[in-house]
Amino acid sequence: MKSKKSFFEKSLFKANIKRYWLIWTVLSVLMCLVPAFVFSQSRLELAHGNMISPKEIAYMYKALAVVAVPITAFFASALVGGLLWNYLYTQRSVGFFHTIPVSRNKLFVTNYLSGLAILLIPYLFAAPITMLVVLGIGAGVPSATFELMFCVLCETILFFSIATVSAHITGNIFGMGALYLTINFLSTFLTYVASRTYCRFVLGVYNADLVWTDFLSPLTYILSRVDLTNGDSAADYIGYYHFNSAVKSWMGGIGAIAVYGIIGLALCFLSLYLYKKRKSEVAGDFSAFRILRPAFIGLFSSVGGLTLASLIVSIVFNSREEDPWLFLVVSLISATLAYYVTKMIIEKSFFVFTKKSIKGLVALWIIFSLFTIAAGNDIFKVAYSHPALEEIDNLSFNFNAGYYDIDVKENEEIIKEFFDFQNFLADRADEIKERNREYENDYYHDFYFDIEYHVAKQSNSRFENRDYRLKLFEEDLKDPDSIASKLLEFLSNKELYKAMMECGQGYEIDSCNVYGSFYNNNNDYFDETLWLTDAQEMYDAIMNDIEAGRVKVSSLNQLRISPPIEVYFDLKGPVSERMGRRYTEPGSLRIQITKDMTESLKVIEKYSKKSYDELMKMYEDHYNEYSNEYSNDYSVDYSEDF
Amino acid sequence: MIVVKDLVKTFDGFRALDGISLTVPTGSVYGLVGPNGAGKSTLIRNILGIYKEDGGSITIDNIPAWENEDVKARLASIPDDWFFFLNSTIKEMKDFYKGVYPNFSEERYEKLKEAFPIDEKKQIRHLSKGMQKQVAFWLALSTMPDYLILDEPVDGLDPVMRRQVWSLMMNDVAERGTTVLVSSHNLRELEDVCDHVGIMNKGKLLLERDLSSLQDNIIKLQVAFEEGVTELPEALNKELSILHLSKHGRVFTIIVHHSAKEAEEILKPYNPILVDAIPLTMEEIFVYELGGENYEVKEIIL
Repeated sequence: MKSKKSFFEKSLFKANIKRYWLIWTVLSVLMCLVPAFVFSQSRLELAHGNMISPKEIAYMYKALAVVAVPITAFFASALVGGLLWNYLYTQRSVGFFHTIPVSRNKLFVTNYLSGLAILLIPYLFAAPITMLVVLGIGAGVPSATFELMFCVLCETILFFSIATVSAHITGNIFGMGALYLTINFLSTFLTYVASRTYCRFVLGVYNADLVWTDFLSPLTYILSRVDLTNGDSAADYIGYYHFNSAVKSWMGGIGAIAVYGIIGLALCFLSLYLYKKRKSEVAGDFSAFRILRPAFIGLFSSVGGLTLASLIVSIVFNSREEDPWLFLVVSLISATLAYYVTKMIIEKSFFVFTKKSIKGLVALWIIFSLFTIAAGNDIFKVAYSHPALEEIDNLSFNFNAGYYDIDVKENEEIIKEFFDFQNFLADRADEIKERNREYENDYYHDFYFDIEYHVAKQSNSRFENRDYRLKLFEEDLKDPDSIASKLLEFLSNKELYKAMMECGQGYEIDSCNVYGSFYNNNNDYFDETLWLTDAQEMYDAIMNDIEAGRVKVSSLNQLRISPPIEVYFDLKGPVSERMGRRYTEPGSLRIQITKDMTESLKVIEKYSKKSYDELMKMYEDHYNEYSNEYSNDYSVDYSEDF
Repeated sequence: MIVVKDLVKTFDGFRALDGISLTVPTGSVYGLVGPNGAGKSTLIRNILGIYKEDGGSITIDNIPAWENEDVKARLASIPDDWFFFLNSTIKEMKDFYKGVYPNFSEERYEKLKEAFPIDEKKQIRHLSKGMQKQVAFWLALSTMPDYLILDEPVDGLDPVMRRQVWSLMMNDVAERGTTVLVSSHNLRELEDVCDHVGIMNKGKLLLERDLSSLQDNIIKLQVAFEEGVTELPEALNKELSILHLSKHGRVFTIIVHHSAKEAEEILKPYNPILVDAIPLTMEEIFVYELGGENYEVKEIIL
């Protein structure tokens, strides 16, 4: 008599490993590419006189843990899960397995462990070979090996458990596949469809940051948010930043992997519970639990309807700010289509247009209507949202076709002014949208103002963009409260220019050059004779002009086109370490020169031996010689504005 | 002994088994018959523990069958559509069966090679349907079951193999006291092997009896009366439990739910000039019994 307490059936386990030998064999061969890669890299480096260090190997392991391992686990788990649990999907096979003298508990545990074994066997081949190669090239066995092993185990458990729970909630392979993808990419959908659709109606925002819902999609979260090479620790945040930031930091590293591993185990137990509740006769149905059928229909028709509506509106109505009423009509039609198609697939019948089905359709319409109303009125005030000051590491903004970085720690007041300006634009959102609609085809009066918040303290830099398209006219400048006037005032703040000139923490001026640049002309003129040996002198002159208030934007033309003369600084950045090697971060800074910047022009004249007017003439002649057809459409009189 | 009591099983509101009760005595060969859709396969799946009943109970030797490994270890089944691992050979399936069935006999398996002359190294999916069925028998009998549950077992087998298979099963019944529950539409074959019969229709059991008393208690009477009697007397109509009545000339053919002796006693007062009691085959019992349940052969002109 078999032991009643045993939860493992050896014969079934052996049969599973034997049956699916092809899968773990192919995966093993693929994974053995890792040691092959390490070996070939070491030979390459040796040819250049370098040796791979243990630190570099450690970086490689950590990178593998958050890129190659989750991707492999995601696909392999879908395959192995689909094969192992496939017996639940036909009457023939489920009848067989429930007839043999093996309890459901044992069946589940044995099959689950078989799946894990199939997924982990390849690592048992690849790992020793990799270690041998690493030892052979003298790179030692870094402690990151254990971190990698931990990640392999947690991520394999996670993705296989997701496949397992998908298999037990659904009744056929299509349902399983659909649910597996949904669970893995729900957050991606929320971010890229739902939130982008919401943001369609919000000025300047294309994708509101949904950090914590990212966690719902393990694959995208691990690939984009987790970085084991980041040296930050949660302790960096205690006392200075919020507790949230500390948690977020931990969740940007090994903490996230550990939590996912625990979630994987929880999903395993959930699957066992579902298996015991599940009836054998549901084999072949989309949903294994009748009660979940309306939920599936609601979920897939919402996802499908919203995606379809977004596509239709994007392709047919290609504008940045949408009319909520138009979107509502399109979304209701899309929702109806998605609803009935989903019902047809799930109920496996074309005859779904019944009176009973109308209840579900009406519920879907209500959801879509509420969503559109909420988005159209921005009830979550996303237009006013931005990362907290303590979370921002760096800010970039565009100005005269260039991007400038501002270090937050040194310039908190400037950053707050950006927040205020963003709020100002949000307050005037209706006016901006109305103008954009009225002058939609008037590209001449388009002005783009973009802000990029870098939230870098959360492993793998995250950027939150605010992009504004403004229609600005010269007459607007007569009103000091107009958007145009406020923008020019904002861009004439000398503290802003000082912050721009600081370049970023740890950067130093290396060298600089003066060159001519013409709007809409790719042929920038770079005069080597103007390469200044004393870049610091140029820098100091510009700073003096800033301090004296001579650097400002006084016309819309100065925003529309770059001034013809620019100073370009090469910067030497701080030394950083990547893959165990030290790098000097390069950088650059561009600053436009106008005729009011007298100190700067003196330095340029000193080295070029040419006056401002002579330089202007030289650049214009060059432009005329090489101008292309497009630039003629936007000819302007530089002397007026610069 | 398999005891099914007031078993109810529904699928999406449809009552496939409607409070059915039956008993399969130990050591018997029980034939479960019924029209298509009667619920035979559903009942078998409930007994095997594939389906969970919605009401009632199933016990095997007084032990509840559901999720009981020890009970299942004594059961072997051959469904109408047998499952095997894709790409597996007969030997590999045998190894699997050997691992999960504690009573599996390697000796028996080897002996049965004579009865089933198929190369065990062959992949099962490459065999014909009939040969796959043979493999199913081969493995099922090798598990030394106390209970053999069969659903259309000989479907697909050639006549020689059918006899072989039945012979092996009857040997087991005789020597080891194996209990067999078989569902089949081939009533002529069942008649030769079964000693108990249960007739199902629409989720219910119409009747359940040992075959001999069943055949004793349903008979065909050929009756003729004196000239002038053109219809069966009404009183006789009421006294006899009639399943079917037809007339050719002066001879009435009546299928009744009585023994021959009982029927003669009832007919005596009516002075028939001819009374001939003929036993029915199982097929005839099936047809006439279900005819009473509105499942008769219909005369359809196309």
